[in-house]
Amino acid sequence: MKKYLRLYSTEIVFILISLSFILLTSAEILRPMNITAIFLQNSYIFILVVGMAICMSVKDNIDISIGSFVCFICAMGGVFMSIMKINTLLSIILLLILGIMWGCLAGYIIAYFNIPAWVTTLGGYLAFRGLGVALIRQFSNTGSIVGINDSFLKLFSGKIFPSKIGSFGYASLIFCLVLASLGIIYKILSIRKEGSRITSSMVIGIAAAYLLSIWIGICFALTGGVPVSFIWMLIIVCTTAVWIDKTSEGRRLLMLGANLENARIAGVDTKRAVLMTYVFMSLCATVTGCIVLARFHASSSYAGVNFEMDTIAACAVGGVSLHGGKQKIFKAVLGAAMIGVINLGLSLLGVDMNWQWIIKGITILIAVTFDRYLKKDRFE
Amino acid sequence: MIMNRCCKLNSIKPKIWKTFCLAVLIMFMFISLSGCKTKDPSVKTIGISAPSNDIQRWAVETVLMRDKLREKGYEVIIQYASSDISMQISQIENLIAKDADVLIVIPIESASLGEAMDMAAEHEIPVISYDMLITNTDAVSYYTTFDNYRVGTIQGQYVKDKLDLDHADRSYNIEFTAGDPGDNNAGFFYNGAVDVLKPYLDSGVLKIVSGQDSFGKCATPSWNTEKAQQRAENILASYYNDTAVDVWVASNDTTALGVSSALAVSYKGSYPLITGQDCTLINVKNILNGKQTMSVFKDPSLLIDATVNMVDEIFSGKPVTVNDTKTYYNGVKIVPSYLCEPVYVDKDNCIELLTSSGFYTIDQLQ
Amino acid sequence: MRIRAFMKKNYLLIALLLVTVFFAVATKGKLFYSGNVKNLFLQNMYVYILASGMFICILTGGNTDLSCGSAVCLMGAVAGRLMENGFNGVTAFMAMLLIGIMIGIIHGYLIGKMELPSIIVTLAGMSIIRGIANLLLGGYTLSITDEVFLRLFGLSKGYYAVFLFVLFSIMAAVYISEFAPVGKHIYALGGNGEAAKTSGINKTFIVMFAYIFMGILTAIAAAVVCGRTETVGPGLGETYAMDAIAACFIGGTSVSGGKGRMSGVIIGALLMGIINQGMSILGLSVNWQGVIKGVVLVMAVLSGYFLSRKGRKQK
Repeated sequence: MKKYLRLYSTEIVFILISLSFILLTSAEILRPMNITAIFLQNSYIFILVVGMAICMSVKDNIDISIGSFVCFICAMGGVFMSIMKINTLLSIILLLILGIMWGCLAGYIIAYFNIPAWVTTLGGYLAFRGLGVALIRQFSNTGSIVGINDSFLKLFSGKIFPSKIGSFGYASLIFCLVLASLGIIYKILSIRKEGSRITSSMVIGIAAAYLLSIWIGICFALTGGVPVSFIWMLIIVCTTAVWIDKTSEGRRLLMLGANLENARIAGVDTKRAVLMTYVFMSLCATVTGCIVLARFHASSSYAGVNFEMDTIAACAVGGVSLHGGKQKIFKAVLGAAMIGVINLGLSLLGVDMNWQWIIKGITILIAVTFDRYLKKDRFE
Repeated sequence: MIMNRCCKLNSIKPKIWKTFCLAVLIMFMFISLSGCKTKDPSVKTIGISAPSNDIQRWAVETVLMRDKLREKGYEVIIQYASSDISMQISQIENLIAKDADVLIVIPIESASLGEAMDMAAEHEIPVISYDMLITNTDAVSYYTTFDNYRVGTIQGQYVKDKLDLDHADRSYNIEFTAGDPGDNNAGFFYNGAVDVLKPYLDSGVLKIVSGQDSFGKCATPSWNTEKAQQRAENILASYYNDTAVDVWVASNDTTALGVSSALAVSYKGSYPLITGQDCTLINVKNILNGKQTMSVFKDPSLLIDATVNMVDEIFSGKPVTVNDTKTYYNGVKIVPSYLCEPVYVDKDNCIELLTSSGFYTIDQLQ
Repeated sequence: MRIRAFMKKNYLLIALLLVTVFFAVATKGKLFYSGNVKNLFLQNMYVYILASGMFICILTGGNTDLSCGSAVCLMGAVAGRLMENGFNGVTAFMAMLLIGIMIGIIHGYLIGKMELPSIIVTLAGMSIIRGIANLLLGGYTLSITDEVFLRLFGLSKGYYAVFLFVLFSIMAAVYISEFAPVGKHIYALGGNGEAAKTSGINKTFIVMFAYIFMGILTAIAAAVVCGRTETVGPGLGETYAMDAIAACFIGGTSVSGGKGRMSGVIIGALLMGIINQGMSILGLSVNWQGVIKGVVLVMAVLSGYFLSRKGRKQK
């Protein structure tokens, strides 16, 4: 019994939470506009959670600098595009380079100097927000840098296949169906490659995937198009899932998670692998920074506030540490979706912000305790 | 590994589970896409987006505004964003999703509401910018405010008048404490005061002994009282051991509180003139007992009445009352504005002014 | 060689000396004005108290308490509301202690018995506690006027009892870490958790002890801060946890536990305090202050690593 609890804990909790909010909001949360909102408002969590899941797969590793780093990226993006008038493509490349640099620095200190992750990223947490705010203040006296390139804004925010409110954007629906089909074809091909049959339970899974994409597609069609941040989310989640499963580096990364010592004895270069997890996390934070910058249309000193809390909550609630491999990514995404539903639900219910703080904290505690309770028996 | 062994025995269980999930999914979809309850078009909904519930000013004013709007028959939804811009953008989008017909927005930061404003424009919802001007977008329809620069000017003017700087027979020592460096308005408060006092600073009638004469040096992160106190204490200990400080211009009441606390702890000289803004309760009490000299009163009922009036006029198709269509350029267009006058409050007029406007009751000021 | 060994052993004092000289010169001696020296102590009282508690927690194995800043705000809010409604200062302080002990028990249980990561637990705790504190304050800043409270913890009434509380906190931490038997258990647990457990040390008890001690000290810090500023407002305590942690690490406490001394912590707190005050006197922009804090923290931790490596030849 406990085995199934462990396997499906995330899904069970997700259904429970969704049902509670559906009841509490009298199904208002299911309105197409609100379903779209879950993705629009929380795309940052989906992306960060994938990075954090990889990062936290090694014991005791964490990255609490992501929020401040997002603020820094926003500031640098503003400086590049608005002050230095660098074109969009070059700016994005520069920002990615910054992300890789921080990831390398943090990863190096953590992997090669054995400084615990939370201390190192604590330094980042303190330094990057200050840097970001200092930069913004340096170049603007209104507290934010405006004048971001239009092409950048179009690339990271707004909607693809925009349709007027009130009309039905068929393009969006077709787009979602096409994406779903691609994903399913890929899955079928890879199963065939492994030599297994397609079981009836897989057919059910495929049907569910199609239905989900139709639902989301219709929601997007009714609300003005597919949000660009949704596409980014899909790109990162799918690429990571595929990479973890199919490539040798990916598989090595998972060996680390199970047992660091054994992996090292087995010849895996654990230090380099840990470094890579931090580079990946940092890249996720960079992409998130671009999305936030585009959402705000400005560099702001308030960017990235509370991202650490939400991401860690998503990982905890998703039971990420319990699972391995591709499952990890799937659970992480479910966890992020859960936090998204909770955020939106509490917002729709008009719950006082301070109660939201309290509820989120308690949710994390319960999730992590439950997590540990399930884990304890597994290894004893 | 454990799974494989049990898999054969329990290969049915995953299928049952997946079917269950599929059923739940179908149920959700059905509810979602079917009967969307249509809104009654005769009921107008006003969406208010405020920065936070923790700041006394917003907690009080949004409630007053809601009550006045409800009196007029509107439905009102208020959202507080806990000083998190991501959250404010999401909340504005949710207000639009809840079919708000007009949005009253108090932005946490002027330029950063990007996507929310885009969505408001898409849905053709009028946006009234309250107290702080939303910039960097053309989706703002109107602006109601107390002139923030004017607040600083009033502070500077008060200092100039009280000390009679035009006929000064000696030089006065002055210090400044400004607000949060990331807050758009903080710059206006600071510059308003400095611009009035600049001629006297230049001519030497006013002297900043600590040399901290720019916004960045005087800023107080998050308008935090304790940080303001620490900075003031350091300045007093370093520069005012044998000299007196005559004026301390603090941009608002929370920072003024820090300054007066610092003076209480370690300063032995003659008490300076201290300015403030907002008429926060604890500071008004300080004005009454002499620990603070003045504050700037921005009677919220003036601003709220103007805003509610605007809402009425928008719905009835009448031309909207504004008294300034030239000054407020938000980076994209000039926003028609209604400006209310702030007034200063000091020991002589504070009880009268604050109680007659209903801002505080007599009991609260004891 | 002797000089190198001396430098390595006392690198903390040398750093303190260098920083002090730097700021003394940069501020043209203002650093040493009696008012500033007094402020150096007064403004950082909470750091000394919280760092003492944090030190014990970190010793047990790298456990932190990120929620202590929010807890200070909560305790201040509770005390402020109680005193507003007529309860006297001593009762208010008792309430603060009670809250501190309760928080300590919860943290201790979750981290010691359930073995949950301390970052996550205290991060969640921070969130919950801040929410409750803000609800209690309702956005208002309360003013503290109770005579007894201000005499015990404030400085404006002419009494200086507050110093005793600060001293008590530091001495208690010194006693626990240097002299008490439980201190040896704490060091053992932090140094090698597995070996400690097999030799019969009860991990749950030690961790609980550490967090309850932290809770009590947080209450004292809250009382001291409220006494000094005579107000409680939202936003109180925002940076306190980081300041305490920074003081511990700069002071040479090992990040994974088991190593470190209170003398280092005090010097670390002093160092951070001088840097903060120096920057403030110089009028340095507040944003750069945050950057410098982060950089100093990481450098301190790194140098601790390098210095402990120099003794042994490693790969």
